[in-house]
Amino acid sequence: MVIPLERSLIALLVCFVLLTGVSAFTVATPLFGLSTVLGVSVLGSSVLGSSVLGSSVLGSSVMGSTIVEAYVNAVSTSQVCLSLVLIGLLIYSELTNPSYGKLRSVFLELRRSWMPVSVLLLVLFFIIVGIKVWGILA
Amino acid sequence: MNFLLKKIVYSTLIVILVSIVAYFVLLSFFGYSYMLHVTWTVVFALFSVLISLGLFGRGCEGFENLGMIKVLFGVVVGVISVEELLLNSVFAFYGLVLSIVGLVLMPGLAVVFGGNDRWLRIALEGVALVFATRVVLSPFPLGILNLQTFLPTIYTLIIVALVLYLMYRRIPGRDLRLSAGNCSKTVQFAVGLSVGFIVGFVEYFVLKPSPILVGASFLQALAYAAIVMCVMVGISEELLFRGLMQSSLERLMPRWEAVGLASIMFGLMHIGWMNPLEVLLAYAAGVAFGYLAISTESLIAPIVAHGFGNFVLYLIVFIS
Repeated sequence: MVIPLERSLIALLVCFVLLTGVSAFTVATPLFGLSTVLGVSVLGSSVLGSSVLGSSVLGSSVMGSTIVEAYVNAVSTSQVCLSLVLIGLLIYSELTNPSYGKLRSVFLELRRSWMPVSVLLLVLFFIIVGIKVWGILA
Repeated sequence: MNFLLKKIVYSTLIVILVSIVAYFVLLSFFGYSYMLHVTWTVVFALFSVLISLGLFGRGCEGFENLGMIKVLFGVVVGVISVEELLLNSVFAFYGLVLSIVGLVLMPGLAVVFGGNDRWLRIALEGVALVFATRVVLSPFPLGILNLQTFLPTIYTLIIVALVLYLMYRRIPGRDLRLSAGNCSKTVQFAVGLSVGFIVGFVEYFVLKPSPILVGASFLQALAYAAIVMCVMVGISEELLFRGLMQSSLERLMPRWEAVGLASIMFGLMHIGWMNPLEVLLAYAAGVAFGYLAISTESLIAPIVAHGFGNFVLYLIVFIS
């Protein structure tokens, strides 16, 4: 039996969402900390005491906390950039809508090429808005 | 040893040797500092691209615009290096902005440079998805997610991006090696588990990471490692790097170069560990996963190897 790719991709997506839910209940005591910022990135390995070539390096330095501060600022500012880029892409999608009339093919190609990016940024934008609203209500 | 394997092994060994020598030379100059990471990453990115894409001339016949494509992806590797270095520094904002720019710019470049070459377009749009793996960090301020939900949420968003793209472009699954492969699944699982065990074991001694779930019981840690590190990370990263990137690059350049290039990008995405040996290990593991994908014509073995490698790593951490 051959399952169409679209169906398997949607099944994969649903599986990931379910696993995220399962993972949220995996550990009873939530661990909040620096490692939650970048996950597998620098803080997870360094601030919590990883070692490089046998010697603990960043964990005991001030560099870790400086990066945390920079990262906190970076996230909030990048949300504005993300939103602005999304607005730009949505305006472009609207302006290059073929129903408005004939356009050069390169503009239509760009529209097609940017479509998945626009949808992804839209999803991220709604998450940003959701988190802000949740922050206000909570 | 066959021709493809010989080229892959030689180029990988040269990259690793040169990078290790460079690391110790730079370490003697800078000591352990951020400058060391910056200079080493530049050296690694340059040498690995030059060696992977330029060392072997024979076998490159029959590929159109190969020079232009190599330069283009050489620049892409440079941009990824800069973005990762910035993201893991006090200039994290510029790293995130560069990711957003890359995410938008790559599909544009795909239109400009891709022309009628479908696979060049897909490869460049694949690079956009590599940047997307960093852009998805943007919505989550510090402390919003705890450890159980952070990685699953990030990897779910990465899968959202991949699924959106694959469904939109309607790329046949067989072209991305989403198939049963040319040998039995049992063999693919066995090979994947063996390679994964070696990678996970070596990675433990390279990273010696702290336990990710402090205070968790053995079963809880096991479940987390199995669900997140094994299934979610394994599937999403292999689908992106071996499925989309490597498969599309193989249509544009010789196979060993495609394996090398996809692995360099994969290695560079591990800069955040601030451990050059981890970048090298990820690069070497990427080459091994890439070769598994080619030899079995399926992503089963690479996914199993990647997922089991992560699982073994965190299992050893928890046990030890």
